[in-house]
Amino acid sequence: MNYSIFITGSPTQSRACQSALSFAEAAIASGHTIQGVFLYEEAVLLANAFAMPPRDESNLRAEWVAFATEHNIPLKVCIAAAIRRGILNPAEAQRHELNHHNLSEGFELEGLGSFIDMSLGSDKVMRFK
Amino acid sequence: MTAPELFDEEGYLLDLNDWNESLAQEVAAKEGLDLTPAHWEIIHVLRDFYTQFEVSPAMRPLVKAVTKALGPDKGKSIYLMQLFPGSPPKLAAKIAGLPKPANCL
Amino acid sequence: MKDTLIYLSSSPYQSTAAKEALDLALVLGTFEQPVSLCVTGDALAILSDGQAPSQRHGKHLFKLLDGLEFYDIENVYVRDSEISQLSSPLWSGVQALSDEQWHTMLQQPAAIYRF
Repeated sequence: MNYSIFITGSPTQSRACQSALSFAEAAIASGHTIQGVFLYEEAVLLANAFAMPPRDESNLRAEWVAFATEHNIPLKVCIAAAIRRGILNPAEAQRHELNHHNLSEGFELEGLGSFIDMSLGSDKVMRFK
Repeated sequence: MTAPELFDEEGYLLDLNDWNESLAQEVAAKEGLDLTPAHWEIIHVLRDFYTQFEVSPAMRPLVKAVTKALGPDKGKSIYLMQLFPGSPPKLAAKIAGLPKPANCL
Repeated sequence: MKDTLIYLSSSPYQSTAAKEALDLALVLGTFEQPVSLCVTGDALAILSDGQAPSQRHGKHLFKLLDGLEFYDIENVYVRDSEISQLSSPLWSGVQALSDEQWHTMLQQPAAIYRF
């Protein structure tokens, strides 16, 4: 089965990002494939490179990026939802005339249409809220 | 000339209330367009759409709105592409003083 | 073609969920994907006629309802049993379903996104 993963739950207010990672790891381990991961609503905060968990806690963002890099899975972030919540890449920072940008490496800002494409290219969408 | 601080980096109007027809002409001129009556009727359809629904339409809804307002001959993407080359929803929104259509790829 | 249902139960004034749910619905429509909406619980406030949110309240989502037809979103479902308890008039484009029809409707789409 080829899955798309759609995460909308906040990385701090819900377990959505953790559960999605556990699911994705289990799916790959069982021989399934992951078309891509799309972050929407509060889940876009996972891509905030300025969010620093204490060193003796797990860094979910780093774990996601390592997993996605190893398995060549795109990590896409809804551009409108991200900008609304202060997650900007260099191009958006420039567009909004800001000196800083904080979209973590390993993530890309994309339109919601790219989620539609992703879901059409997969057998099932798993949503984590 | 218009003060540049009326616009964002991409040339979209920051405050929708600042829009007027001569401003639209200046924006169009910067984009290399000379506004004809054919352009104006699309701009008005677009502004009506935004006023009614509070959203800048992407291509498909724009085509439908033009069809409804001006008839099927004009409600075609080819026709809109001729008037507003490249991306009609983005270019026409820019000239009409509306926000950039969200999630436009 | 997969049918998608956007299932709205969040209040439009409590969070950005309703706004972001409708954004998803509009993009599905723009991409020519069949999409319907159903509205229940706190989300029914979206449909109340005569509301006048300020900019601070958020976007005027009620105004967007009349624009859904331009995105080929033709079905906005509500439940008879819920709306019969409401005092304010609702947006006229809704399709009111009996509880039985509601449950049948929920079984049709290939994907349901709850907001």
